[in-house]
Amino acid sequence: MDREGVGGFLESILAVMVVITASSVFLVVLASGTLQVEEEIDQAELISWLTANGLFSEETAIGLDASAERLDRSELPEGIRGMSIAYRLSGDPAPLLELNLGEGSQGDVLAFKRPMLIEVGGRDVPGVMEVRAWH
Amino acid sequence: MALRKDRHGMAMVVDALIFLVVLTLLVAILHIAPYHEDEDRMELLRSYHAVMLSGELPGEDGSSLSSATLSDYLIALSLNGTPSQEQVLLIERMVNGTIVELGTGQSGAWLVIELGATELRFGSEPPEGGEVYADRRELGDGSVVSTLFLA
Repeated sequence: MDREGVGGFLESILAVMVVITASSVFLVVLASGTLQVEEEIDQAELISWLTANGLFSEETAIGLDASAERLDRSELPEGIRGMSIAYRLSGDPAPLLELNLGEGSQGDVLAFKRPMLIEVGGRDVPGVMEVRAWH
Repeated sequence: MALRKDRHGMAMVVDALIFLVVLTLLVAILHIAPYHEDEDRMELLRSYHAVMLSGELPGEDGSSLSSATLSDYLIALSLNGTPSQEQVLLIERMVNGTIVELGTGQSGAWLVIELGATELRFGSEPPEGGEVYADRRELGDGSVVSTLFLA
C-alpha cells in the first residue's frame, strides 16, 4: 500500500464515522422531539374531548352528578383504551367523585390535573380535575 | 510518515471536527431550550388564579353574599375601607385551598391582595432564591389588586 493509498483508506473510514455519528445525533434529536410533541397533542386532545363531553370547563362550573351521567354516555377518544377522572376540592386530597371508563391501565399513563369550578351544594367552589389516561 | 505528508487527509479531519462541534452545539441548544415549561407553569398559575377569584362565597341562601364571587367580595370590601378580622378570615378560607393545591410539590405559593391601602398576605413565605412566577390581576376599577405567586 503506497502513501496515498493509506491516506485515502483513513479518509474513507473517517467519512463513514462522521456519517454514522451525524445520523445517530439526527435520529436522537428527531425522536426526542417527536415524543414531546406527541405527549402535548394527547393532553390537548384529551382536554378538548373532556370539554366537548361536558366533563370539564374553564369558564363555567361543572355539576358532579351530571358529569357521571355524561361519562356513561361517552365513548373514549380514538387511541385511548381507558381513563379515570377524579374531581376534588382544591387543597383537599379526598375525591368528591371518581369516574372510570374503558379497560384497566397498561403501560404508560398520561396524568395531569386542571383547576376548575365545581358545583357543590348549589355553590361554585374552586376544585381540581385529575385525569389519567392510557393507550 | 504517511499521515504527516497527507495534507488532504488532515483537512478532512479538521472539516469533520468542525462539523461535529457545530452539530454538538446545535443539539445542546435544542435540549437546553426551555420548551414551553415556563409557559405551561404561567398558564397553570393563571388558571388557578382565575378559578379562585370566581369561587362563590359560603353565604347562606337568600343573603346578599349567596352568589357573590370572591372577586365581587373583594371589590365590595375595597369600598368600605379596612376589612375586619372576620372578613379577612373569610378571604383566607376562600383562598387557602388554591394556595395549598398550587404549592404542593413546589417551593412555595402565596397570594397578596391589595385592598386600597391595606395589603393582605396568605400562604407560604417567599423563598430567598430561585425563580418566581406571578399572575397579577386588577379587579373592579383597579382599587383591588390580586397577585398569586408560585416559586
